[in-house]
Amino acid sequence: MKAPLIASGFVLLGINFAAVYHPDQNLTLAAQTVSAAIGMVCVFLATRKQPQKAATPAVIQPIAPPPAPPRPEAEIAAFLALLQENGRLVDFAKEDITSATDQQLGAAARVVHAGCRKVLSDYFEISPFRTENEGTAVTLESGYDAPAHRLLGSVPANPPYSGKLVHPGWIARSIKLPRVTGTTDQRPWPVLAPAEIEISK
Amino acid sequence: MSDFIGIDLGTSNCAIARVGESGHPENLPITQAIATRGVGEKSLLPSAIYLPSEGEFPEGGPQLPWASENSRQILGLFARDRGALQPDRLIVSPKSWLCHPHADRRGPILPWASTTVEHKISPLDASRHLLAHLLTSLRNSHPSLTAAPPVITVPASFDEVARGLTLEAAQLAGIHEATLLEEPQAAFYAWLENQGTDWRKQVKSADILLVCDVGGGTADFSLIAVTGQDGNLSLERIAVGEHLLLGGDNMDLALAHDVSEKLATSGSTLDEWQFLALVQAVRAAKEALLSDPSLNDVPIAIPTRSRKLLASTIRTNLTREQVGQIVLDGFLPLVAADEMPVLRRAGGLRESGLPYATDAAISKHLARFLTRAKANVASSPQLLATLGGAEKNGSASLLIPDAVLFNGGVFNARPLRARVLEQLTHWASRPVRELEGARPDHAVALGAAVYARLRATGQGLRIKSGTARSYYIGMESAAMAVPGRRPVTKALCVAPQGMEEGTSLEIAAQEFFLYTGETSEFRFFQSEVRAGDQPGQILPDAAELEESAKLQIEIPPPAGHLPGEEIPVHLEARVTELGHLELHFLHKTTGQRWKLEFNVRMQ
Repeated sequence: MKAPLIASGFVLLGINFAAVYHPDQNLTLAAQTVSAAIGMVCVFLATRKQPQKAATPAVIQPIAPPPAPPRPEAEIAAFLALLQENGRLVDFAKEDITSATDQQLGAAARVVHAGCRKVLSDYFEISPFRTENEGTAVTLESGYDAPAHRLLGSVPANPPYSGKLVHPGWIARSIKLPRVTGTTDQRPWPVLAPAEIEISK
Repeated sequence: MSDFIGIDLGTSNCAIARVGESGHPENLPITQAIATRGVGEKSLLPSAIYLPSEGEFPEGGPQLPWASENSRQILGLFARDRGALQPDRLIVSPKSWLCHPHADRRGPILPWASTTVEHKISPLDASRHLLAHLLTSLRNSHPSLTAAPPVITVPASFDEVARGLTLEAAQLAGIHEATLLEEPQAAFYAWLENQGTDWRKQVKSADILLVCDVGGGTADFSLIAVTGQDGNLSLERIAVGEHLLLGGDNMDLALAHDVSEKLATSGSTLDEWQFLALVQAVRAAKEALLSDPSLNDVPIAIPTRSRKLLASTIRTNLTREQVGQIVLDGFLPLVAADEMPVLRRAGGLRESGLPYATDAAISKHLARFLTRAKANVASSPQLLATLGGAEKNGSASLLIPDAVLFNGGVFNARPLRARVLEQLTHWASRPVRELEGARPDHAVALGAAVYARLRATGQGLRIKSGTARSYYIGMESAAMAVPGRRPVTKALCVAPQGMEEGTSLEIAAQEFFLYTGETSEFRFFQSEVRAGDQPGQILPDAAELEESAKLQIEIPPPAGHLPGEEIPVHLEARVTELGHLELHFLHKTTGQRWKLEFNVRMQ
């Protein structure tokens, strides 16, 4: 189950990061940002680590017993909540943008972009998989890293494959997401963003 | 081999560094609450403490690996973010309360002016919680760590009371035998370590170096003199500045107000939540403008808290001109050498709370610091000789440094460094250079770890420092009573400036009389500008000094003496190995000794 998820996640990430830097196309920018973030969710879902067991060094007292492993959904919800908290991703994706102006979308996209970018840089170490510029001619020899490459067009039966790099790919060299704690929450619907109430003075 | 640990207990952020087997100092990640139910590691721990309300986290909230039932307060990143939305429950800059002379630093007063928090905590406890968190995080991630006693940094401007309280907080947090180090010195140690043997290429004998440290919330200055022969240089810290609550956060706030006013004139008023978002956005925009000279303006989008992002997001921008006018000309204006900061507000009343600097012009505070440093040097023939005599120092009213080491996040921006150098060059009428290779963000913790190694191994160049101020005890004068006139309080110098750790000084020539068996009041004074005062010297009027503490105690009479008796004593001042000043009264005939610590609070 994992490999396809990673792949689809990175595809979404890849496609979208390629498109993000066209500042004159506000609509594209905004929409792409959203699906980039959804891509991130997929990558996270597939690559998330099992919750670490708390180390119990003898020197510190008292140490609480390690919490029960959280349900996987709780981790995904927590990650989505991060994107919402920082980048208002759920707000943005759930809004109807058909009648919005590009100027409105542009302003909102800046909020989404700044926040999601912050989540990316805070919790992931992301770099392009291939270092060549797009458009460079590349050759894949036998034994190439197949999962990290996707071949487009008519592919011969065996390597070497020659072609043009159309997207360098992205890899996450490290993922350090917050560990979810406090999983006594038994409600079937995780809170992605709490309702906010301004207390009257 | 044991490790060496340095702790930067910062006003806005804390950090921890280690010199391990590699021999190079490194920052260690700090485990902390990051989200409502998320815990993770960050290289900085925001110095923020959030006190949740009863039932705010029925599911327990973020659980640290070492969390216990009774630790209800939340520290770090999540505390800061959560607290921004509920400021009444948030403690920020707890460290600045430790050196607030009029606050009850052991009393439950924080969060200050909060009307909703039931169980407030004291400034001492706030620092204790931060230090305990750092220590526990360290032990939790490095269970087998064996470390020499850690070094904790404090602002150079911290007086003896604040230093004592910091050591006490460390003790309470389970950090025993911690040593204190002044932050500007720590930054300098980090620079020395980073430069290796090359540092001598940037510094020569008879140079005076300014460490200019402007953090998020505070500005801290120190001067270090380079003496000795080339090839065998030594370093001595010769002046420290006053505690100044003014830093990078003020710049962001000033820019945000400016943008907000601009928006108001075009009809969009921001509520307080939008203003919070604006401050964040303006900080990022300011950093972009200061680091990229090709940018002329940076767009800013400010969302409301409503889910309707499209309809309610406000667009504006921050221009290079605004940054120039507000950050450079507002905080670092080019001023004349005699332009001093406005120290008091025009109004007769000040709101209680932290004594934030009234004048935002850092350059004027720098002028005041260098003027006071000059006066300090002039008061001491010995210090004057160290600096190459009066002729070298000229007749200028400021003690002008030859080079500057920058520290603190704001100095990542080249234009700000350039402005400080321009100002100093303008005052000096000769170029003042920058020490290259500074790491403004993490140097303090790294330098503290380097210093911990230096203390433990004795290897490396040490900055000669000693006490930053001279200390005095108030004394009733022996004068005839005059009706309607209170006798003037004299001040007896008990510890001169520059008194080094692990030394003691007895004022042998004089005998004093101590009241026993009844409550008497002791008053303590200090000065940053009287390097020439010798122990035992009596100043005719304590009013010219800064009063640092007052203590009312009853000293029990020694064996064989009656209560109410005045007994003859000698005075001895000690600076402990940990850099803590103590005052002892010695009764020679019985050998009895009483200790007074400077760590007492102002009534």
